[in-house]
Amino acid sequence: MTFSRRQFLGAAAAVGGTAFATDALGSHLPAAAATSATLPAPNASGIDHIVVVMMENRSFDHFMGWLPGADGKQAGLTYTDRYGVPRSTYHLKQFASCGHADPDHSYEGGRIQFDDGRVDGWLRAGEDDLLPIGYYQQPDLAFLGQAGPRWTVCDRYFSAVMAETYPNRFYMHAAQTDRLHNSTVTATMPTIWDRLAAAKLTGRYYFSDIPFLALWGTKYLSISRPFSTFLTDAAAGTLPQVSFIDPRFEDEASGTSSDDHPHADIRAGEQFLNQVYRAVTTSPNWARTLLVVNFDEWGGFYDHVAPATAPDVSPQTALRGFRVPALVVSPQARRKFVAHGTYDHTSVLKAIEWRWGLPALTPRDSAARNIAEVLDFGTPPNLSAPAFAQPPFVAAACAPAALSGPEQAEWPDLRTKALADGWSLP
Amino acid sequence: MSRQRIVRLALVIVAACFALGVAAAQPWLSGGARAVTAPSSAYLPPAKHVFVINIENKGYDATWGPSSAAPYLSKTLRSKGVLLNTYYGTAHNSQPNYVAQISGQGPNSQMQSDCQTYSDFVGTGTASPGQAVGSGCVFPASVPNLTDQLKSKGLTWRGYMEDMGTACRHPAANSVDTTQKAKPGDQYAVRHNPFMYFKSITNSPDCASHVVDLSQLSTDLTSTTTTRNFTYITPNLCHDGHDTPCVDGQPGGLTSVDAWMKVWVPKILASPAFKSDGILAITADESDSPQADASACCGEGPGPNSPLPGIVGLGGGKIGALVISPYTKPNTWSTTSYNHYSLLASIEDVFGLPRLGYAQTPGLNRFGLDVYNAR
Repeated sequence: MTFSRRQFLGAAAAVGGTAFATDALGSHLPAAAATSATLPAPNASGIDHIVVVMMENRSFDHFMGWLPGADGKQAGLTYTDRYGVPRSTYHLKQFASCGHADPDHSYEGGRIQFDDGRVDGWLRAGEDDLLPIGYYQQPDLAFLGQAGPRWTVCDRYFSAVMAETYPNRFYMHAAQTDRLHNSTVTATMPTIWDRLAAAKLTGRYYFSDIPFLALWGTKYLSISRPFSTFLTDAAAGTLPQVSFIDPRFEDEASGTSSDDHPHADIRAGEQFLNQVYRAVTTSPNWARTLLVVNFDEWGGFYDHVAPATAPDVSPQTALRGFRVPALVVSPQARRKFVAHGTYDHTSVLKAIEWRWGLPALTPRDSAARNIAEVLDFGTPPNLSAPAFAQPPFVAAACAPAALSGPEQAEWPDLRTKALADGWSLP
Repeated sequence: MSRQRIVRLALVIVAACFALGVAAAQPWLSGGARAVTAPSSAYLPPAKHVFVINIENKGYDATWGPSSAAPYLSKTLRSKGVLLNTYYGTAHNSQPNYVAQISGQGPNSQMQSDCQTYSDFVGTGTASPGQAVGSGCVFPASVPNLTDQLKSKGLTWRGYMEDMGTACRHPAANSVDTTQKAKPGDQYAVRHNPFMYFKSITNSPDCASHVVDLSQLSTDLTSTTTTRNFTYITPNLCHDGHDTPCVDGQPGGLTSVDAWMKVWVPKILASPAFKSDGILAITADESDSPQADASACCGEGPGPNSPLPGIVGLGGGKIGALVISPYTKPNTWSTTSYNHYSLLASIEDVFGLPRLGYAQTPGLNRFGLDVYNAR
């Protein structure tokens, strides 16, 4: 792990100290704390439950660029649009993104934004207006604005592949993708669920409305549960070894989903994350649980860090996508900490495989850094977990807009497939 | 004033202009999330030669997909330029797409039937933006096209039609078009030659020097002075992929497209004019058929002469376009939506011409730094 004091001071100076001023904690991050990357024996790690919740479509700078100690950039960046006009990054004042085009985050659009590593094409892809270069600040985020500075945030956590939702979510389950675009062809890739089942371990997939695992037909029907069951399992202390949780995907176009995908009202996503956080940190299983919050991909929102390639099943999908927010919560997690190691979705698979001695799925997770590295195994578990107040709100509902091709293929088509295959949906 | 103060003042002015620009460019305030309008044309490349090639009736996946039957076009040539993966035809069937590219006129039912009769357009008025209202195929001289604009600006142009033989060849007014079906040795199709549908061209004494047989192109490419500012090329019914198999026994389809591209595109790319300041656009007129894909982009809607420009839908379907130029970066993408009206607007932008017909559509995307992405 690399935790550079210089990087920390530089980033702190870049935000002008304002984040510290607004942070009621009044304490500093342990900047260059000496840490050991040596992992304990998996059985002695104190981790018996891994919970992963994957949100949608936000980049690191756009959502978390304000975080003290992190390599984030917000105000003062300038990007040139398609017609040669320089535009400055700006603070988004609306919680939903009604009236904007959904920023391009396709395989091809990502490459326009990447621009051979210049990462300056944020206003030159698709129908992009100025939404891609807007950002949120700490007070805008009722959950991550509070949890981010108190727990561990990774500032070099990349979406696994420079492509849209399905490819990235496939990486989360399978460490590879069999397609570059969203489509509902039945997948056959081996997954972490197969590995868990082969080892006689329990894995469960908790979904809110549309089950992503329906892309494998009915293969994983038996391990899937509605999100409400996650809440009761957590409350009862009956969490399985591995839980993946998905937010409510549908109604993105109207801004009423809870997955943070434009045009969603991000207050709904924050409330959902807080609900998961609360369930985990108040569960009888909490003492031995690792919770990872991540986002599937950058959603077309700007980020100033160029991703690189990683070992992969195909050179076509080797280039990672842009950075996304990633939060690590556990009694073993460092508090007020920013981890600078390079991770992607398969780093979470790596942690699962490490903990339970499972074989890697592909060259990607095989070569990935284990996200459990960011935990502190050298001190006793710290069970304290602050509760975060969520101010009440009424979600902004955008005027209904026609879905673009990728959005249509994303959830309505999958709902149709799931129902046709015999899933019963909430 | 100190130098520092001048700089600061300049920054304030820039900032003020910028703030105004942003206010004017916040489309969500007015409800439509479209691209901002350009306050200047400084982003445009100093191109002086534009080349356009159309193939026939091929949707995006067929031409540009991984299993394309035209590997030279979809891989070799594609790797030299920027692939516009959200480029749409504007109509069904063929003829109105070509007409759109050079005039911005929308279709009427005779055009949509590919002008079986070479009928005079009978107009009843005009409609915004710049549309001649009426029916028929051959527009009167009062309906302007790109070549009129070029001419008035002292710019040169030529249409190169394979198998046309006789320059400016077209049927007699209001007679049946006998080029609808290919004949051995003559696979020229008037309906793929848009210049023949404007009397300002066909009635002009210099028509025969403007609309010529493709064989003339090799000579014209030899020097910058003989290469026209605007070069518009239509292969014959076999080489544009229209026929499968062809009347002369060639395979046709994308196989023959690929063979033709291998002969002609290297000549263009090697020409002094292209290498100095050229832009080559290769696209199709429309998707495979109205039934295959009649989708539209870019705000295309019902026109005054046709409620459904794509017969069963609003457009000509997604077809894609490849742009190769010293001003584009090899093997790149543009994902911005374009159609034939955007192409016309983009050509007009390059030559500093006002926009005609639907090229004036508010918010219509024109090629920007997504296409002119070399630096």
